[in-house]
Amino acid sequence: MSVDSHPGTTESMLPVTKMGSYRESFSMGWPQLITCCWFAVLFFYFGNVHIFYSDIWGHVSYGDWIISNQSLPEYDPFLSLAQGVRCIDAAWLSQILLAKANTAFGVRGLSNLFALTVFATHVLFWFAFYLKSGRVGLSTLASVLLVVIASSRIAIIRPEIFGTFCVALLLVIMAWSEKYDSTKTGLIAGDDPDSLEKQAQKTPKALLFSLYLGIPLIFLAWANLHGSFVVGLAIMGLQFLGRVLEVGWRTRSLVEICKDKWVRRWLVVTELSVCGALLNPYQIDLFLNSLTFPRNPNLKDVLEWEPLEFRDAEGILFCFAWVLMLALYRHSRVTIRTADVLRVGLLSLATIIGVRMIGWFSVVFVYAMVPHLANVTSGRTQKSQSLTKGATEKIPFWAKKSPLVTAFCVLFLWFGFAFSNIATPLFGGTPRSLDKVYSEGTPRKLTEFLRTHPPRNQVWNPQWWGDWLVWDGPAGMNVFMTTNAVHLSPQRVWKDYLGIARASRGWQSVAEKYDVSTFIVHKEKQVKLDEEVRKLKGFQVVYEDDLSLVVSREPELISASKQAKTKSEATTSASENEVQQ
Amino acid sequence: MTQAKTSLRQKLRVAGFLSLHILLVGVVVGWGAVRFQEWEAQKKLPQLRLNPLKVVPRYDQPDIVSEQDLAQVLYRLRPQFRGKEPRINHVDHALRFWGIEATFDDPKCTSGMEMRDILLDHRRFHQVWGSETKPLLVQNQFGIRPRVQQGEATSSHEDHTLATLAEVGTPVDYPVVTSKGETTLAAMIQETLSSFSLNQVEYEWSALVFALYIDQPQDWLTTEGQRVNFDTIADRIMRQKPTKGVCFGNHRLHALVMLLRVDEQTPILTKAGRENVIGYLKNITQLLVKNQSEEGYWDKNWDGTKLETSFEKKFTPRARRVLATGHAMEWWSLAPPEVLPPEETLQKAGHWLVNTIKEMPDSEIKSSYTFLSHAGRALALWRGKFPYQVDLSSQAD
Repeated sequence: MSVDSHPGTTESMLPVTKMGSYRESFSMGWPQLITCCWFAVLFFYFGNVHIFYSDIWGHVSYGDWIISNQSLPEYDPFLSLAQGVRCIDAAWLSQILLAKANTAFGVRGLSNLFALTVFATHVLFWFAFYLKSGRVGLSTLASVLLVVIASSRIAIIRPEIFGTFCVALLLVIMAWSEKYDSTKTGLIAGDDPDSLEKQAQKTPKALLFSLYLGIPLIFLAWANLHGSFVVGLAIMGLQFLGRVLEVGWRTRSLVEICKDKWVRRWLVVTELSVCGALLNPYQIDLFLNSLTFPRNPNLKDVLEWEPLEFRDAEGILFCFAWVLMLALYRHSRVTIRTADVLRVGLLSLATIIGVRMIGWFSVVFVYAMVPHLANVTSGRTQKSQSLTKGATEKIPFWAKKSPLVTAFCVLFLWFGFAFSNIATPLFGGTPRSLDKVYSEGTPRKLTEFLRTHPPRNQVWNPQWWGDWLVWDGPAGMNVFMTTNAVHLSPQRVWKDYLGIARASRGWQSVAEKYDVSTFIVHKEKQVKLDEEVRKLKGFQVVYEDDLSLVVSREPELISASKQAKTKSEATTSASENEVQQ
Repeated sequence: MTQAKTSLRQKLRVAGFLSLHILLVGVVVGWGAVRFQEWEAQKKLPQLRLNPLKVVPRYDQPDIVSEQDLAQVLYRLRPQFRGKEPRINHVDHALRFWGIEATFDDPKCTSGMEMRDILLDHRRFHQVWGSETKPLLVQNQFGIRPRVQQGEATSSHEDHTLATLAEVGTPVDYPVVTSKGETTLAAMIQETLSSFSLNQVEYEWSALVFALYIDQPQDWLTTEGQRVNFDTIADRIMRQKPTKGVCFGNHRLHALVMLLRVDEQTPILTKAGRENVIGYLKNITQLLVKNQSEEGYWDKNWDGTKLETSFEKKFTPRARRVLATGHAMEWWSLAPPEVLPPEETLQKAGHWLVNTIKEMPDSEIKSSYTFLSHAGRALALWRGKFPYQVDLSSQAD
């Protein structure tokens, strides 16, 4: 495959001689420099992302559980209150990968796995954009656009990153194939249908191989890595539907639609993808689960599943994307692909319903906009070129290439790598401090205390700490809620959890219903509950730090806390005596 | 001719192409539809038996209460509810106490059948409570249910009315007349099965209804998607602190005993589940024995914790003690022998109950009728009888 063979590429605008000199071969321009700089920054950034205290730890715990039990959990293994609620573990393979990475390389290994996966994903996105536009700088601009729109979802370490990696792979193959499947309908302005017809006959074998084998294999992996594979199937299905509509609109004939080579190809590839995705431990149940999952009533109270709020950052970025799209459609001379419209429409709707989908929206949106962005910007570039050509005959500053720039490109990439945390084991030096690996709000001291003094009975905890408590707390601790199991928790348990979390009227009797003997409170986020639990009759504060508070009525915990208090008072008075002497 | 042949061949190829892919898509969609139906089928509620199981008395201990004392006590606890606006929680407690078979010579008393009619026939309810009062039986998304804790014309606890009807042996096809039309008791049982949550606030009577009415007990899915069985329900009952729950936690203990008794007739618990319940009840019995007063009664702090009465405005000390003692004696009267306390404990409690009820003024009997009904029933069960089987004719004189 040659990326320069793209019919719409604008690289031909640059003066390239067949037998370029050695110097020319190693020369790069500003677009390449900016691209290298962008990826160096991305690599550095992803390598420094903190591991959030939320669901990642639930996934690692699940992975460990699957490895040690050599089976998938039937019910949530860590939440006794969800016993009996069937668990379809759509991310089992990701969880194993995360657990293995953690076992082999520790928590830094998790961080590095995240950095490498997300970085590779963005390189693949960039490559897909490049295949569509043929322009380095523009592909980088598209990559930046994608990162900006999806900014709220980009730095979260969870199995979804593997799903995003799969969609990036899929888009690369689709972008490559679109160079061929757009020819017959003459969709690219100014194309000669006859020559393109000939070109269309010559679909490279490698592309066919990627379509018929690569994409189904992607779906095979994706369906086992993360539940977002249904988004991928929608992307594929709409590619087929878009092609059907385009051919149907042009020919008004069912026979012609069925005869169309790319209609057949996309149909077969979609079918093979479904077959690939069906190769998972739950088979068709996984599809049903993924489709019915958003209907889970508990998700209504989860921020990321709430409808898009137009005043929030995501809402503003979403509106910006739509304004940009309308502007590009207004000025672009490239035919609007039906599949793109369908995909953007569907994912827009999904984002409006659940803000979590903005990450997937940003992918299909930028993918759809790249040709239009290329067309609009190339029109301006050509205009400015033709003006400057007549006047000075000079190559514009933007198009200049030089080995010096190449050297800077290499330097930037090197800096991005060398200063990242991934490079530390290779070059030596102090490994990244654990304080910087874990996010600031991770209650590490709390779990240290709980490991020494494990609560025996039901514990109430903030759900966002539940996964961490399961992972780093004492074995078998009976937590009330985890982020990972919000959808598995019976609705009544979830409502009761929220009632206690908000210290709503009568929350004490709700807690009594579950025989809660220990409360763990996030002091900053649960101020009202913090005040209330301190007044609970029969309970005592057994642990407190800047972040968390533990009150309990378990005698072991109370006596342990008293002993610790006596010990610290004795230490304090001893040190005071020393000072006085 | 050739062109026509080509065209036909083309059309056949297209038809073949379409058929193949429609078939393939159809197979996957069909598979999905079948699995989805299977998912839905898993939500099917368990089958009900026509007549609920009956849990009969198993002991006859004259040392606890004599025939004469029993008749005297029960006579004082007759359901004198004839007239306007009988409190529904009195009616369903009295129905449970006396049973459907009960009839009384006293014109002030309502018979068992009359009480059942008030609960299950809106026309009768309308007669006693008037047209201004909202109906007792209402329709919701799952079926028919009585209104609960919304005043005197409503039931006092979740599924209490239904559990009463189960305990007195009402068949599932018994006609139920609501303000909207006629249905059967099965509609009410299905409602409670459909709306049941393992973590609902009051679950003791729901457990009783399920144990007595479900035929061939097996796991079933709640509407929350949680698979439950009688082991999980028993675990839920045993989860809270002993004195937590309605009537100082005693209904939970009664529900556990009923599960054990039903399990003897038709297995509903696993072996481990049964052992857990028996172990739990043995511990409770030990607590009760340890904390019984010299006089023979227990109070709300029957688990031995410090008695807290600062917030107690609802009951007098005597009422509290009758409540705690009567309920404990009731569940013991049905319990398997291995969970029973020493005879001395039972005798002291029985004597205290008899003497206390005999001495109670009528006004206090009226105000404390609901938990006195448990005490009266307990005394009858300790003589191996249901209350309606006790001859009260000698008392009328």
